[in-house]
Amino acid sequence: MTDESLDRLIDAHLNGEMTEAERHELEERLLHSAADRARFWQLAETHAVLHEALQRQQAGSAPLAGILPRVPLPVAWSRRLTGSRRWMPFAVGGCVALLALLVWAMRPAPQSHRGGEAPSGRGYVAELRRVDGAVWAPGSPRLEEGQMLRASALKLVAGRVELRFFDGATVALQGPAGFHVLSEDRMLLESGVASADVPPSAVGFTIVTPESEVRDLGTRFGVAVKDSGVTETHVFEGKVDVLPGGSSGEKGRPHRLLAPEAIAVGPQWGKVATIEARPAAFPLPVRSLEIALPCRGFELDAPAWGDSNGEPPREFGVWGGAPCEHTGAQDGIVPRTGARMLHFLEASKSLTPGVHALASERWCWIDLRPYRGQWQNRRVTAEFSAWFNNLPGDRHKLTAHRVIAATFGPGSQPGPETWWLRLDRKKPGCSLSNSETEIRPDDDVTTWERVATTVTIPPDAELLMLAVHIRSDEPDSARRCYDGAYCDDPQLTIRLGEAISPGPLAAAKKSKEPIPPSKQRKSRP
Amino acid sequence: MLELFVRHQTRIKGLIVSLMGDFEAVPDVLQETFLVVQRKADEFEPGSSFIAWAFQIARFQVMKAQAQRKRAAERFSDAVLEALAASAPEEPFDEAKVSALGNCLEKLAPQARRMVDLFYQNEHKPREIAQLMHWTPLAVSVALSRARKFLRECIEHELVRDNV
Repeated sequence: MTDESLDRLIDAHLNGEMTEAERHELEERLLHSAADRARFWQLAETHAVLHEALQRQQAGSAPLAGILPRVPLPVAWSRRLTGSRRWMPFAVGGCVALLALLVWAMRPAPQSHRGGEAPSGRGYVAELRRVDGAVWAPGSPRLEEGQMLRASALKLVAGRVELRFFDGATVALQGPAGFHVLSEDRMLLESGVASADVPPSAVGFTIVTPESEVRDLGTRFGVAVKDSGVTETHVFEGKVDVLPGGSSGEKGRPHRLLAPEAIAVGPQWGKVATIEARPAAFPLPVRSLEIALPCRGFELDAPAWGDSNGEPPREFGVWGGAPCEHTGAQDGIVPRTGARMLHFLEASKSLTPGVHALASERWCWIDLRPYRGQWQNRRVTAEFSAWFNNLPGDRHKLTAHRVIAATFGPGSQPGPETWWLRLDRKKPGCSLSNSETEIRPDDDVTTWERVATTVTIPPDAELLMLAVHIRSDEPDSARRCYDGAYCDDPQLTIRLGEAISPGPLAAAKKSKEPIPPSKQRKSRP
Repeated sequence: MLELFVRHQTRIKGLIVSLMGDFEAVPDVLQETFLVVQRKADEFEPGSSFIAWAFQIARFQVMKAQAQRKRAAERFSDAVLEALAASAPEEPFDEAKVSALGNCLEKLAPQARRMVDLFYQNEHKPREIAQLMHWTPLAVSVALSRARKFLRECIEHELVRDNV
């Protein structure tokens, strides 16, 4: 018989994430119950065994299975070995001490993710974040999205990958490229092109090339190692220091580059030429913009969500549409976040008088104009997601949950008219881009299902419309119902992708891709 | 004394790890414990339990290390530490368990495994893992707790199977 609330408290302690109230409650229980203390040690044992086993693995000692008694000594000791008088006991402690000291002095220093220590090559230093059509060279590890990387040498024949270093820097690489992941804040680019997006927390991130060392000072920059041996450094934002010399040894005088500057360093260091910075020549790491959703979740303090007559609202930043309520836990469904969630009640207003609507919908309009300055001439996408839940039973089983995101161009206003034109491709004012994703709910009220859809935001888009949508397949319109559906925690993430540049190179590349509807319509007056 | 300490070191470290609630100070506390054990070696009564004696010293070192933590949420009170240390199991970690753990880790879902590695091997805090993996800190904590539960049950299962 396990006591879930006790387990939860103990787990919070072991995870190092505890509120004062939880600490107090756990302390009370541990002080007064021997059974609770026994349970504490039961859970803590797994915790301690896990830590021990994975630390051993990290330190490169015996393989995990069948470990013999060993003499590993604490990490901090190795740091204090040199010049520490505290070590005298060991010197006189006999064989065991000597053996211990020896085994332990030979252990590689564990990788610290906090300090800027030299790479030991043992722990993970980066994660492979995105993989797009990657072909790895024979002999190079074949890596997949989400994989953690230790210090290693990699060779990409084709395709594109994105690495997130543990210091926070993100690097995009385009094959063919040869590179080494060296540590959590350092990589070597032997050949090919790479670009880095370095947040303030990761200042100092360095890309070494055979001819130079590029040290970031808070920025976005690209590095290309040409077949001729020339290293180019392009700064798109912020500044970097380029030290000619690189992995070949001696360093030259640093060149400080400010955006949008670029230089080429020749095979004999010292030969430096200024060139034009071209972001479009580099794969850029996808950058997520933190945009707080103006129409926040479905709490009571959310912006006015009052009656909009079953139609899309006529203002920005509020949810409006079909009759609904913001409710606390209900019928076994508990809000996914916060204290309230959206409960759909009835269908939206029908477009055709006399015909029942097929869905219950809530809409929110977002004004994109204030954000357009952040687009940086890059491809922009928006991911809209929300969580759904549904009551079980025959009455609700024909419903489907959907999220929709669409963009509209200049001249469009928030309101039902714009919404109605959304998919009407023949008329001006229709959406520039549109995307929707639908799921069938499960029968389990204890689980929430996430539904997400990603829409392209063309450079001329001014409005973004988001919708959460409940559809019914019930053929008998009188029996359609929507009140078994719940929605919570809507989120919007804007991502900046590749650079779009008017240069001839980018234009040639682009013509190979199918022309999106937005581009076709652009030519219209 | 050194030999005794080395033999029981994993258990002593386990006690410290369990009481502290984070890994950062563990190596220092373990070292301090060792130094005190060395210093007070002549106070140890031969014939009594070395591990119980070492646990008391380790518990004092945990208290000392935690005295600097101002927030009550981050540490157990001295009374709780005392009660816990006194009730801690003294037998060393069963190496069979560690070996079973190796098999069980293989069975973890990839996401959970990654989380476990980041937490126990790289010693990232749940908040940092949340950032790395684009999860919420709460989701990370829940996933860690679930992974431990899965591993605990898997280890038991493996041990029962081995005995049969």
